[in-house]
Amino acid sequence: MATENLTGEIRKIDEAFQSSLAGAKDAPSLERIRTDFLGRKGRIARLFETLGEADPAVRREAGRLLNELKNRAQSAVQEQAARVSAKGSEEDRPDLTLPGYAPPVGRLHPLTIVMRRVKSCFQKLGFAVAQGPEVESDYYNFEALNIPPDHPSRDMQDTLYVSDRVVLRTHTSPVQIRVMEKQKPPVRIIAPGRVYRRDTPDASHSPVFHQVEGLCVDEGVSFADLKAVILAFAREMFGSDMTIRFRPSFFPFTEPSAEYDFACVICRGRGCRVCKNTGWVEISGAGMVNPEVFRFAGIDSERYTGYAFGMGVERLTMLLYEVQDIRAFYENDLRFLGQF
Amino acid sequence: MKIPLSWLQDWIPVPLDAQDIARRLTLAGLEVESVDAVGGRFRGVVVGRILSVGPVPGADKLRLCRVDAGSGEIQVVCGAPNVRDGILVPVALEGAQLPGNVKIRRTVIRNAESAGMICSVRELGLGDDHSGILVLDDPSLRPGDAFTDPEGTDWVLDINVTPNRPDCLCVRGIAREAALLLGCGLRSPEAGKPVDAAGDAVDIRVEDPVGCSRYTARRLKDVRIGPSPEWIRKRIEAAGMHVVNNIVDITNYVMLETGQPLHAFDADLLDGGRIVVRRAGALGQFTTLDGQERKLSAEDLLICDGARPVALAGIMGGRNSEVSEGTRRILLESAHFDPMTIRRTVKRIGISSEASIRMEKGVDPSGTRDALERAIAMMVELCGGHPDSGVTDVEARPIRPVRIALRPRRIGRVLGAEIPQADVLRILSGLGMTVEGTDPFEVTVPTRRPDVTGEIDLIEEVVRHFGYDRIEPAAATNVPTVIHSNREDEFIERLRDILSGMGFTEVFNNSMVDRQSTDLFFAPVPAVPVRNPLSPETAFLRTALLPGLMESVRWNQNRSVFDLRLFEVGHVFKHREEGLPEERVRIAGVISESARQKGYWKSRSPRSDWYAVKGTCEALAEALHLKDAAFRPSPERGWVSGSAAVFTSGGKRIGTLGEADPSVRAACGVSERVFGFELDASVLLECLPQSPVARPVPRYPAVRRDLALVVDAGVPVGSIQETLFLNGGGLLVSADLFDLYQGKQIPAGRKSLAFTLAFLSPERTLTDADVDPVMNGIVRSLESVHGASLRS
Repeated sequence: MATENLTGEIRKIDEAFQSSLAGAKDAPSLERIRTDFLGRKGRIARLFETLGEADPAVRREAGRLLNELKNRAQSAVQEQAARVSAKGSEEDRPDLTLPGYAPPVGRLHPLTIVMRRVKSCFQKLGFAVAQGPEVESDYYNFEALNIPPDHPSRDMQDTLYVSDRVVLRTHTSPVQIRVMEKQKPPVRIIAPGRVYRRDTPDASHSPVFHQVEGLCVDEGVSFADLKAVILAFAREMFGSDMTIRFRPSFFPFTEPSAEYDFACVICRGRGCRVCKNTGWVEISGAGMVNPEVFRFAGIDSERYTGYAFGMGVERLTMLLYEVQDIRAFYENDLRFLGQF
Repeated sequence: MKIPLSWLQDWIPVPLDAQDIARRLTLAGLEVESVDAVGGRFRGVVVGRILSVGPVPGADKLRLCRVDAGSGEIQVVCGAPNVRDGILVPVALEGAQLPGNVKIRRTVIRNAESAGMICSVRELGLGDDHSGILVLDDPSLRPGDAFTDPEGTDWVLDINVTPNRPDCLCVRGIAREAALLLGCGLRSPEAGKPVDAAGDAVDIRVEDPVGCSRYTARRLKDVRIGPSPEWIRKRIEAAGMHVVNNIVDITNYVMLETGQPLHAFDADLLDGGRIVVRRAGALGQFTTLDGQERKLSAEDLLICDGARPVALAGIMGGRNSEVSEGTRRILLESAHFDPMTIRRTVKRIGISSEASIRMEKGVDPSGTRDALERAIAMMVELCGGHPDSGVTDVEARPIRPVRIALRPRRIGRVLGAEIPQADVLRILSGLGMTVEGTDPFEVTVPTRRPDVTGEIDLIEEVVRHFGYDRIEPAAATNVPTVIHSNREDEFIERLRDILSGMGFTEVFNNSMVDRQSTDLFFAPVPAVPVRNPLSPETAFLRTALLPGLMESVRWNQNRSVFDLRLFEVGHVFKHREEGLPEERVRIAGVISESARQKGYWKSRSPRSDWYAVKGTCEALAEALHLKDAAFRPSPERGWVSGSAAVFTSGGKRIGTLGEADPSVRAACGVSERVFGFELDASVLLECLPQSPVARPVPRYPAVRRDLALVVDAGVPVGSIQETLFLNGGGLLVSADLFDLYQGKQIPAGRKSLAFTLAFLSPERTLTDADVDPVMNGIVRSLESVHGASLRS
């Protein structure tokens, strides 16, 4: 066979292949094309057989062309096969509305979430996390905080006792003393933890709850610094437009002492049921560390000054998420916990 | 402390606005918790005209009235004797709120419907008169007009006085603060005619000057006991106290006004007319005027007469010397007792009174005489008394004002703001302090302020009245140069993230539990008892977390919430003979298996069983890169026998896991099977490897071989894996079980296991020639050690 004939034959096969391939929309028809053109008895193989009869010169050139066609056809079939299978057949296609297989989702307790936010906020301000025991000696819980025995200020908290000298800590303030005994100024800590009071449970009282205590002691620390830190905290928790209010109060371990309020987080100060129309919600207490407390901790109150503050984690959480009843935190109903 | 605004107004020369003064006091540390209107306008009370009065069948004293209430005609049942047609009366309509929290509703009385109430003076809270309904005689009133108190509105401020401020437990103390806040002076109300102080002395002997620093007294004769005038009664009741009789009411009135508790004895009942102040010593018991017999302890401070106790000093008088209707002569006491002494007795006996509330916080030792004279003047004027003795004032232990040096610079350092000297002086003198010198200020503090003992207390007084809101937050605060990380706290948070990431939801349970709950799980440890628990259910501190988690399962299961995966992190406690109890931080979790488990449409849902809880511990070990994590059988209380395993790493015991025993579930009220673990967080932290050192990943591919064999059903899979690695020639890097089968085609009592083995060399690509001999060795060992036969 002449060269022209051979190359014409190859072109014909090529054209036939292209047009068949274009019409192949599924796997069976593609397989048919593969057999017709690329099979052992396919058109390309059969043409190869006729090559032997051609002139060596013609044979080489035609062989090259035919090989090229074969390779091209092979990869074209493969590509098309991939395309067809990706599209998938009717029965393989997923029903997008069927539920997927999801691994179980666990959640952190809302108090953990808020405690972490509080910790993170103060850690950014350079406070370290410190801890102390939940069962405390009378000394750390009261005496060293300038709450002597037989003093009326003991009535400010209803205490649960283990023995005469051992109590369930009524606040996280004892950690202040424990830290100052070990670490000389500068001190800058927060102490998150569980505290206990002899309070009958109701919508706003729980005998077990959580506080975060803060303490900063250094040279030149002032009441103005305390206000700055509380303001930063308020804004981090409740938004950059949050305002705060300090009111004088009394705590034996701080002097001057303050209660600090945030603008009502529900009504933003306009007045509502939560803030009893005052526009403010009480958060907790704060103040400058009483020199008496420094004396107990062995710190020179002439050289160093410091501030301390506290806050109730349950209270913050209730304000943040508008939780109505503190008992929900300890019932552990998944329909409640699942909301956070 | 409740104070009527009108009473406060007696002391303040400028007109007071209730809301304004409440705000100012609050911002000066005297938190006003509520401002309540009394009298004035009544919500839901209108003027009505009685149109007709008829009988109520079957009730002699009741009358059926038709009333024009302005908005229409209503029918009201009334029992007052003075009801008659034509008069104007106050009518409380349905929904009205009257003093004493009385809410008016539509009712049926003796089959007669009553749409409201015609009110008496007492029902309106305007006075004591309850003899009949209030008849309004103002001809300008029309039916339907809102009814208002003819004397106008008063307000009662309820002030939360902190325990350091006994001086503010009276009208005068609050007035002093208010006057300084308003920048006006303090005026003294009309004090009554002064009564000549001269006369014979009262026989007073103070045997205990520690307990009683000062005792001032005077006798009055010819007093007539009767009710107090209405203005006194109103104020006493507005302040939250009960009225008794004119003498007792005056003692209370003066206490509310000055803060000094007073006590009136019936002088004719005092043996020898004497007063002896002493400790109880061996005196056994005493009946207080509330009729309670009190057991005395030796340290209790008593007022005695010539023969016996007549009062618990500063707390409550005795029944034996009480002022009664027949009293003609009284002895009036005004004394200063040691606060600690009073407080110990109050706490021990569990008794408290308006007097003791003030005494235990410290009344003004300089104030006894003024208060006494004020009360005597009122009694002479209102009870018809005459002096029967002079004022006798025994100062057994004089208490002098303290002097404190205040450095102006120190004020600025503590506050971070400069306070003008004029403000410092204005505030201190406004609080009754005298200031001499300039640097330092030498400040003399009046004896009514026992809370002011040092320089810092003066600084607080200054800033309290200067205004906390006027101290600007500092622009910059120091930055620490050392960061103190808390490794344990960070680790605990990491554990929380891992567990919640594995589908566990965190719970918080009470740390106080009942006795039974401390014995449910693990070897018994001595539990820490709470001495004064709220209830037996919270009388001990928890010794484990699992009982709390069981309670959480019970709570949810009873509310049809199933398929639980819960965890908790918290302290557990163990009693120690010496010192504080031992506290450890634990982390525990439970998986509950419910028959009502949610399925998944495509396949069975993931199993909630023992292997799930083991898998959780394995995943935790994997997440934390624990070395040699192992699980060994170890019987432990609370777990089903055979399911209990101890979880170790590097030989250290981290905790246990297992299936909760049915008896434990029964005790906890849990019906579903529960699988759980409880681990010690500190041990877990000790097991953490050092920070990792990166190694290159393998450069050569692993060769994988599957191995299927049949062994006796009792052979632990772990022992086969041990044999595999023992014979792996150092090339075997993993041997994962991918199938376990018992049943058809496998002989009874045998099981089929299938592993995928991976062989790897760090030096080169392994070939069959490398792996085949190792595989042969492995198979031979399995056959000889475990009686395994190869499955083809």
